[in-house]
Amino acid sequence: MSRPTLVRDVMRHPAVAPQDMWFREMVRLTRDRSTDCLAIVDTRGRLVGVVTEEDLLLKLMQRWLESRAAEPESPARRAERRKAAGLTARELMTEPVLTADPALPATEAGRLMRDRNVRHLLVADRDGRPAGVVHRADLLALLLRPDEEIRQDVEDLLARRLRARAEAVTIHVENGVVVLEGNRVVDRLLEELLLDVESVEGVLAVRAAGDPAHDRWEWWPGPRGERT
Amino acid sequence: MKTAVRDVMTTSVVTVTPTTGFRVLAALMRDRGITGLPVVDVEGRLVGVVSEADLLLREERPLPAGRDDRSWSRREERAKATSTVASGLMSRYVVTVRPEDSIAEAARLMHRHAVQRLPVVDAAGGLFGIVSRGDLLKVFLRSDDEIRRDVLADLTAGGVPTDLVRVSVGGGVVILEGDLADEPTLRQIEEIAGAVDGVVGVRSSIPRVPSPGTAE
Repeated sequence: MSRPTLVRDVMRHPAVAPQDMWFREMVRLTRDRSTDCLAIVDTRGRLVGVVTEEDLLLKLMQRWLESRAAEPESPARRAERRKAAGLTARELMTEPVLTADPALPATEAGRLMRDRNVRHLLVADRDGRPAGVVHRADLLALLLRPDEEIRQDVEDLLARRLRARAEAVTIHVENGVVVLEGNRVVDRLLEELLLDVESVEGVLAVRAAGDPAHDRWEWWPGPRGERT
Repeated sequence: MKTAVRDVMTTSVVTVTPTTGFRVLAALMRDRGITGLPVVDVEGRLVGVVSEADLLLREERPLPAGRDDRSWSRREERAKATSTVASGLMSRYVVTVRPEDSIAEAARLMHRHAVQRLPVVDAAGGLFGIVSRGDLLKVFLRSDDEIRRDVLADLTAGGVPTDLVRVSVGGGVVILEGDLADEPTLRQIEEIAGAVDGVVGVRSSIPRVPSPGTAE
């Protein structure tokens, strides 16, 4: 079975900026590099912070934030107001930076982003220099895996788990949806394997074909008969 | 002139229908660099938005139905994580802006609702365009000359004699110099300069004199 996609497989070169870069230059750099985050480095090139499009956008809220400065404000709001007034990367950046290991499976990276409510993860090399960045969009590749590759993995998985009986199963894959067609000999065994099949990279859903008595296989709570 | 949403929005919007399939949605987002796709019905009305995050829920294997599902948002996430067409993946509650809204208002909405883009709809609910964070930030790419011209024009319009202050702009930062100004005038000048589109900050070296009536 092919190895899972790792962070290093999907990461790109990060846009890097020094701490004294000015606001407008940061806007221009994010635009030129079609990114929504900048890796901020010190004079020795080590990653010290991150500036996101969200941080830059606070500038448009500056007057609104200032107009409410007299009201009691949360630490988060105070930090936003400070950032909104900032002119350089040093003043706008968030530190410390949440980084990911290049050997982390990409699916784990996705979970980390969601748990920490960020849209990207930076990767640093051994010397602490920015080596890569993963955006949410880069993870979409996981969901666009070619059907043939998925079929191959499912086939390998079934061969390993069912051995000779795997021959009794026909595997169909269409647009990431796996349909397994078996017979009574393998039905029960297949059922136990559904979760594993479902976690094969790129699989969007698993369904059973044929015998309506095996509708229970449609444990997957998606709308029925959706497959066309 | 104040920049409105209509001045920076994208009008050639890639839209999908409620029946558009998962893979097509993912491919559109990846290949066109789109973070959210508006979903429109046959009459062209906006019915929802599918975002990158909605698709990536798929990578988080949903738990079987259970206690967790008492939470409405959790239940909704799980439903999204198991659907294969736009209607099941999209968010139906969509925050929108009007073309005439200011970019500051759009920025506030994006911030409050933690979204990266807002569909622009007209009064009839028709989809007019879409505005992203990047679109809003474009205003900061205005040249220093343009900004300076606007600052001077707005000061004049605000009744501030422009011979009182010298205005220069560098890197989007307005620098105000002058001999003397009283507090209210100074505040008015800074206010006007700070409100000009593309201004990143205002620095003033004009010495303040106590305003009339203040004992000092």
